[in-house]
Amino acid sequence: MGLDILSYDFMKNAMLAGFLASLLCGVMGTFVVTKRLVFISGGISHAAFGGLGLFFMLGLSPILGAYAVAVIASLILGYYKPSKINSQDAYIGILWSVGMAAGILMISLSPQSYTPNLMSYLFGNILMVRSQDLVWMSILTFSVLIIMFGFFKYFLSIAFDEEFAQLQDIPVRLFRMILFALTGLTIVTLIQVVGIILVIALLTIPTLLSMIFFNDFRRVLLFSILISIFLTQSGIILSFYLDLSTGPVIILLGALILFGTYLLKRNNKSME
Amino acid sequence: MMNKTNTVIEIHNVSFGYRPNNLILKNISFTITSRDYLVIIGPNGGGKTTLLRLIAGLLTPIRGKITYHPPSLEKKIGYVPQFSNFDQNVPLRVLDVIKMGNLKKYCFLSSSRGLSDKEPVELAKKLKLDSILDKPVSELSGGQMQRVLIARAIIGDPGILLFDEPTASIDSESRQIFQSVIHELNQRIPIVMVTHDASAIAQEVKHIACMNQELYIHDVGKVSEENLEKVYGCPVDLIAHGVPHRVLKSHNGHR
Repeated sequence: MGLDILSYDFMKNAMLAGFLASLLCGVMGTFVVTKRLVFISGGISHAAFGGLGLFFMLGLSPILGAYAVAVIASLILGYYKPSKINSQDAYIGILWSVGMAAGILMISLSPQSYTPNLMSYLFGNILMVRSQDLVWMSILTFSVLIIMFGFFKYFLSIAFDEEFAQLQDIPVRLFRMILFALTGLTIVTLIQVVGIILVIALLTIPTLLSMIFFNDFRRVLLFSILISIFLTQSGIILSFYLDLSTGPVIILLGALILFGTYLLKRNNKSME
Repeated sequence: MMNKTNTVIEIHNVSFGYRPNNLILKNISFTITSRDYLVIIGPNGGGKTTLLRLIAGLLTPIRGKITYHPPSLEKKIGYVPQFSNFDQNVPLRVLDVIKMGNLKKYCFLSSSRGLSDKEPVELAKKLKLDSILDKPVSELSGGQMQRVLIARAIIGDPGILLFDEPTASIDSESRQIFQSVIHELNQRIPIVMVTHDASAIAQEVKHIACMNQELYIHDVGKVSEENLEKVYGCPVDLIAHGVPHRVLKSHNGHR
């Protein structure tokens, strides 16, 4: 293996993008998992594909369309209580497939002379990240982190007990909508790393793994970030040397570690 | 004027229902005074919890009005719900949950204990929670959880305390701690408690209301068997989940 991967610019960009995505994914994933927003997040990520198709058809930046639709869908969903949304799961399911249907149709109807590689949106193509994308990704990542940590206790309190936060005169609906919107932004950022179909696994595996070891929210969150960084970086390197798609490698690596940890933990328990 | 200053909350002709033709509460009127200790008993599904949530401001009446004296009291309501209201999936420790009772004051970023934690730790001691401050809330017993929720409700220094079924599933130690904390708080603030467990009624109780969609309020000692039967729609002996119950005998025995 004489290849020095950092001598390739696209690899440097990929690893940096993976790093930024990991920061987002660790923080937002912890909220998504503990507040049980996984299905809602799935709906948002697939709806985003509709926006991607629309902007592509209009000759605009597809990923910008994905961001726009993800944020709008998140704000609408965040307006309602998650328990109410989850009880209407059929509608999320519809949002899910309608987003995909609209996206695929609009891309196929678009007047552009080339069609984008659909696979790269569905399963991610982190090697396509350009230097100018990284600038925007950094600004976005740090904005999300600043908002999350600035109002951390309010987000945590509405994750735990919205009603009690409401009693303390916290604008619960506003904070929930912000939380959802930041989740939407995170999802589209992660889509660029692992793609629409795999994004849910990247959002949940680090937190699930972290919750095996810790039972304090802040530690779970911190460890989720570390696991995400490890997964994206090692996934990128592995996929480079094995010549495989990066997204699936990251996800399968994560799933393998999660599964292994569960088994070890169970064995240890039964040994005691 | 004199009795106006004494009244802290006025519930005036309040009705509530999720559908207008299906009311859960009908024309409820009563007042809560500054050092009241009001217990509302009634069967499950009779609207007790709904009434508490209306007083807490978590629901809005479809008819009628609730007035707070002073108006700022509306933002200073301590509420102890039944456990099921929050998500145990969120990994939090006892100390964190107590601190959540006063979000405007306490910080949640550092996982180590800071100087500002003195007050919550003191309170935890009073409720005998000091040995389990770092325990995850998902691992607590019913009684411990109840005490954590009480601590969370009083750390923000409320002007009134509302309890929903506080003694539903607690051990005798928790029950004792609970009674003494309530007694102490009632020296300063009014207490409103709803329960279907009439044995929870302590000697200090000043008023008892019976409710099943409508509300009948009594001074202690005037609760008649007839009224209770009207509320529950069955003989007193059969009240409370089919368990033969001593609603009146145990209660009157205290007087």
